[in-house]
Amino acid sequence: MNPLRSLVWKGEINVQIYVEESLLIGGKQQQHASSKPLLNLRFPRDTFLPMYLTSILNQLKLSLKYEIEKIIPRCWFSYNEKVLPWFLPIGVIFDMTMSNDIISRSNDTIKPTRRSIISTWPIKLHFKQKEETDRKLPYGFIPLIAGEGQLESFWMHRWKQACFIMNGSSKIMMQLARHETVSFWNSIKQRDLDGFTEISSKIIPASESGFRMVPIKYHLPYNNETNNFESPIQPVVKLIQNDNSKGPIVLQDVILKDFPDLIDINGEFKGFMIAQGIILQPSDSVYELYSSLLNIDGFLHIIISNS
Amino acid sequence: MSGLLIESENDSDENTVSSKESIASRNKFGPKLTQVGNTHLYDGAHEVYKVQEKLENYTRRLSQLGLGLDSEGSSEISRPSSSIALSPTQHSHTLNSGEISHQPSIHPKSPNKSKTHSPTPRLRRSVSSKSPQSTKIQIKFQPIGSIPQLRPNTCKISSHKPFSTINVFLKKRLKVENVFCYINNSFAPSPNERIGDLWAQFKVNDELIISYCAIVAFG
Repeated sequence: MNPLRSLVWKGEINVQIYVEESLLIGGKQQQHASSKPLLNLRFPRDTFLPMYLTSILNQLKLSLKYEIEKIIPRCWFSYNEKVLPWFLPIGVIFDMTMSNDIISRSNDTIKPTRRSIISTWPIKLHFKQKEETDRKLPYGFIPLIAGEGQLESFWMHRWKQACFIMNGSSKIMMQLARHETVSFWNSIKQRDLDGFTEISSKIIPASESGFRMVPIKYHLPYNNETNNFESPIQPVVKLIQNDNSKGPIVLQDVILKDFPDLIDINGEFKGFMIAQGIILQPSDSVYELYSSLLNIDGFLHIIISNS
Repeated sequence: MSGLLIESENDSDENTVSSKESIASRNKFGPKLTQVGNTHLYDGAHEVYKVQEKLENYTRRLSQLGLGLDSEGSSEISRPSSSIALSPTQHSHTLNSGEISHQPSIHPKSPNKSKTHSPTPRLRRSVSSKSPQSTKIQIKFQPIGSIPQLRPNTCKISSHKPFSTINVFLKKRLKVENVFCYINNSFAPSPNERIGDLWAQFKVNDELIISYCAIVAFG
């Protein structure tokens, strides 16, 4: 197995969970409590936030005003007052919100210190009661009405989509046996890389020439001006050179099609691309990147920044 | 493939336009510079290049002093109006590790200007007139099961809209509470995906085929 896959699979993020005061017993008197992190956790990069929601709420249940079952369908996480899209892998949301931090740390020429190495991600848990009329649910909020089943279904559709992009149809995904589908989802929940690789290798073409297109999503960093995160950009990426030149398709070739401004007057690439918390090089082969850094939903998520 | 070729062809056109426009925008830096530009632009290509060079030097100096044009404004001028606005880097909030423990508030109302001010323009996706991102694309609707058929069964929609727009449209037109949409009878796209991107990847005879059903059809 590719050793990079194993390293990426083990990647984790330090998360600080803050809780909205209205969710805590004591309400507004708990202002001091909502300004401090109530939990410090470490999440694997390649998982989804809702997978840990019940566990988070269980740890907080002595301080919570409402029952956990009541909270789950009407709660959301935010970073800097913006709703976090629960349907993206945690690592992707982290990279979108903390891209400047990742870039500045990579440029750090000073000897690394604890402060410069350890990065924490503060996110806040919110809840809105059905009866509350003085405020609305935030724009972009998708309720988790069916709990984990909803997440599983969403994830399955992403793999069908990725399968269609790679192979020209979702047939391979649809022909998986029931037990294979179940073990594929369990491999995500149980953090079993071998189980994940066993099923995903049936869907992903074995060689570069087998790819119809590569499932890639571009994300732009956290935006203070809009209500929420921007929609992702899904480029058409083929692994065949348009001209007669040989050599692999590199990242710069595909990114410049959508972002030509990322090249300066001298022909030098001036942007930053981040995937799985790693700053990518413009000369990296797209096929190699997909093979090593693909996310659990079958897509390679790349955060593009020009800062 | 054709989509890629079209984009790359137009990208070069756009760059040319963009560079011309950005020169124009730089002329707005100050009255003195505008005057210099107006005086010499007609004297020949050599003079034009000299003026451009002077303007560029001036811009660079302003950037170094942090007095450059507001990046929002400059980006608006240098991009066509059809461009999809993307993320601003000038307002990005930088969080250094370790800061969090010293700061009682994690949600500052206004970003720290000394940290966030940057002359870097906003990153935008290139949009050309021929690309699917800037045009209307054709969608063909196919009912599954007992849900009513849409008449006419094709429609055109702006390609930059998110897929959730289709869902809202179908619910309204069919007067139903729930509708489940699938592309090519295979998968349900994420509600925030752009319709233009889906069209570019999954079109059949230049149409995006969307099946819809009142209950879950493809799990």
